[in-house]
Amino acid sequence: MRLIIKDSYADVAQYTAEYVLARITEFNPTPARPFVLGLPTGSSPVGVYKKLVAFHREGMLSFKHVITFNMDEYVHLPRDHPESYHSFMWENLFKHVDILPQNVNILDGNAKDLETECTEYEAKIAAVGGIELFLGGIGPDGHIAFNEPGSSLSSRTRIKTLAYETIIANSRFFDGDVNKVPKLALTVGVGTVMDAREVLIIISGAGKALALAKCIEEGVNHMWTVSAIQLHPRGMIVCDEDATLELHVKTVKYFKSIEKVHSLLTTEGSKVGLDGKVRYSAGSK
Amino acid sequence: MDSSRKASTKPQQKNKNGNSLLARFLGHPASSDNVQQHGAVDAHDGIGLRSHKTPPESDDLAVDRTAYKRFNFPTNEQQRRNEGWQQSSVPKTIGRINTSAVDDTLMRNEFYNLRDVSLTIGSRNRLATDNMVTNKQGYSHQIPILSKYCPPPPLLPAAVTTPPSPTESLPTREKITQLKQCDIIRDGKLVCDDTLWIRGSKIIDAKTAFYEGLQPDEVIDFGEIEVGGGRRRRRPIIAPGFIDAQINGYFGWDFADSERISEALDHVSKGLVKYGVTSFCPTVVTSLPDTYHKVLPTIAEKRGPQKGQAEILGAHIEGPFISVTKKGAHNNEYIHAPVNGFQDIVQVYGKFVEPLSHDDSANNNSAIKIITIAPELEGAYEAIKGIRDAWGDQIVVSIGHTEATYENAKKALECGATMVTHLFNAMSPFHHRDPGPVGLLSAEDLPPGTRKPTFGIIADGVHASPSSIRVAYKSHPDGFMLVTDALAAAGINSSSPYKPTELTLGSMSITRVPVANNSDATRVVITGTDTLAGSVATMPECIANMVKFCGCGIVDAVNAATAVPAKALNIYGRKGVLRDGADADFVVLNLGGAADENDDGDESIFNVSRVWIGGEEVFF
Repeated sequence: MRLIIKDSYADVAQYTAEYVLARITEFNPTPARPFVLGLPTGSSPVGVYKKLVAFHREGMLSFKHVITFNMDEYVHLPRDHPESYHSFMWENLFKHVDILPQNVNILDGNAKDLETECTEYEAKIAAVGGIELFLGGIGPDGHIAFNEPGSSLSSRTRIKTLAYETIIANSRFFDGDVNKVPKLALTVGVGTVMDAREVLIIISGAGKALALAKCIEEGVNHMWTVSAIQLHPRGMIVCDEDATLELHVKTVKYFKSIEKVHSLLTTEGSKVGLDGKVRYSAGSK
Repeated sequence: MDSSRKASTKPQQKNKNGNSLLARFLGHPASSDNVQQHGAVDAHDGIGLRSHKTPPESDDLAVDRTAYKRFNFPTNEQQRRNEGWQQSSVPKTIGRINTSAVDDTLMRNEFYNLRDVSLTIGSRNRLATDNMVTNKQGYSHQIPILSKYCPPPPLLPAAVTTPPSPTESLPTREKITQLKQCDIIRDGKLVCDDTLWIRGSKIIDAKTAFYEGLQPDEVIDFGEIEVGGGRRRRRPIIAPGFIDAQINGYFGWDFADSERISEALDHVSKGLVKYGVTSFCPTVVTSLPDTYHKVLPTIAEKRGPQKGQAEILGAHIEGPFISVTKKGAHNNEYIHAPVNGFQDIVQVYGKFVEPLSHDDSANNNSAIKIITIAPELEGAYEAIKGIRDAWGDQIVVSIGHTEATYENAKKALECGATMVTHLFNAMSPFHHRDPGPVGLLSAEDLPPGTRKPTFGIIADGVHASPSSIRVAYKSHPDGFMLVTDALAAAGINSSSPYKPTELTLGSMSITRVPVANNSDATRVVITGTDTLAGSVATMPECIANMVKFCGCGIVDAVNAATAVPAKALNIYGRKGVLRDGADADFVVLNLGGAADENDDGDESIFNVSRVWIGGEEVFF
């Protein structure tokens, strides 16, 4: 697992967006071989999406051959409700870029048979060849997507009941009325996220500091579901200084030193590619 | 699979395939159509019988196992075709089985489950089914069966239908245009960095269209352009098309001229487009009944959306039931009171006001949109009530050219008036003990069931002082409606194609004269007098003036030219707003005065750069 520590949220967003840009560019997606991207919602990825839109507007990044899969969606919330995750993704990303509507996959919380919707979502991911890069955020309780503490670490896409704390936290978007907040959500499982070929978690702010510490310094635990990233062959966490407040000084220094060496290696024409693989001839993938 | 298979672990299909290693990875060695490249999941029929231990001997799933609910699936390609199974690119759930995982070997062999698919993509298979399979006996689960084959549809009773001909079956899809990277005024507020989708002649909701799978055929990207000196130009603002409720004529043409009314309407409709006005009410000043009987039918005929020109909403009839002392530029001789109430209205205006003749009424299609009347005249209250009873919301009654006291005005509201024609002009002035019609703007004692009226303001700087306009705006901003009250003298300059020697307003002759102390501004007066007669203002000028006089932003000023008149004329939703289902009439405004990102600059500096009417770009 790589832990990349940046100074502030703006730097985190810049780094993550640049990484996504570099990955997609290096992958060079075509209609026959599209780049499959997993996307989160919430406050952490907003800056990343802004930067991705800016890259798109400068002509550096095209979403034409990118297929996206979102992590979650509320159940029985109308799709055009301003707080639904369909609206969030539209406002923050899809409105501004050239992604094709048929390449966008978001769970449908208003499907007639929700369980079938979940299994078909899994099958869709498999049908396109699995997710290449899964972006994600983290909750203060260490959850990824809506996999609240206690979720199985091998779970798949399923219906999940929201914790009361989450409902209260979300009520600020629903006129402060807890009764208006949806109580069920469809979410990808921890297993689904970890099945992606690469996972990148964005963690920023002091509120997430304890979660980050529990997830990387302590064991794999279903109470802090992001800790499953410890078992992933290519996990990456990008965080800012505030989020490291609960980590040991040793951990922070260690990861900073690794990244220093890594940045020396991944210059133009270097031996190590973005995906960490050694290149045997300059410029080849 | 027969019962003997249960115990054997030896690959028995070596001979059939000639390659035992291959056999282990293939699904159905027994059936010939499955011998294909190894490793490819979808090389075979979709029931992934990819066992790591023993390949099955036969592909017959019909063996009865009492521990499971069996799902019948024709494993043979030929059988599938016979029964009408369809293939889909994405595996779908075709059933579920309850299991108690007694024999994990059997489980892996028999069902196409997610596990088999994931083998091709990664090394980590952490599917729920795996855990279920390896659990101890007595554990019961439901496992979905996924297949790329869908069961054939149930047989429907034979329906006798003629298949549609190729040209009829598909509706020709209207062109979808997308405008992006612009700020859009939506429901009276500015939404930054938004996108507008148009289909045909209507606006559609972009988010819904996207998630339904629609894509735009044409994309217009405004982008952000660096203006020299490091200043960033603001994104252009997209506003609904302007609505002008009072235009007496333009470019030399006069709507009260019954001889040339048809040409006048055509020329003005086309010419107004460059000012961003996409809908208007041609106004007819006080005239003889004969004139009305000639002019109104033509207006009625020409209203409705037309290609390439502003839409005529309906006539605004100003007079003859107005006050003689407040006639403005109207002809004294034709003015009289509606002594007989509604009957006089019908007699003067003709069939378009008769209660019997509105077969258009169900479609909100009255040819007359606004009637200006002075409420203190004898019979006026009855006339107003009669109009409202006959036409409801379709005809708006407006108070104007009046000596009305505050009480008269309130009574008029009670009878059904909802608008005030060009506030301050041609009406009793605001007096501290009798505020007159102006007092309605801050009234708290209105009759029950009535609201503060919408009021038109001619913001050319000549008809009312900026200070008065500001007072009116502060009192009742929601009712502030911009009108030009333009007439034939407007829009004429040295390059105009049509320059009549004599300009008229109905039966009066008008002249354009410069304003004292201000060489740029001009005013229009009745020839030989000092009486103001309409204006030569354009709507963009009025909007810019409103930003300067009232201190409001460009968005509020544009609202006064779009949303407020649309609401007053009861056409909000089709006009005056950019939302799903509205007519695609909108203008692109380029603001010039922005200094940097944190400063909006001087919002009164802008120009109308492009105009769309009915989804077609008509001015650029």
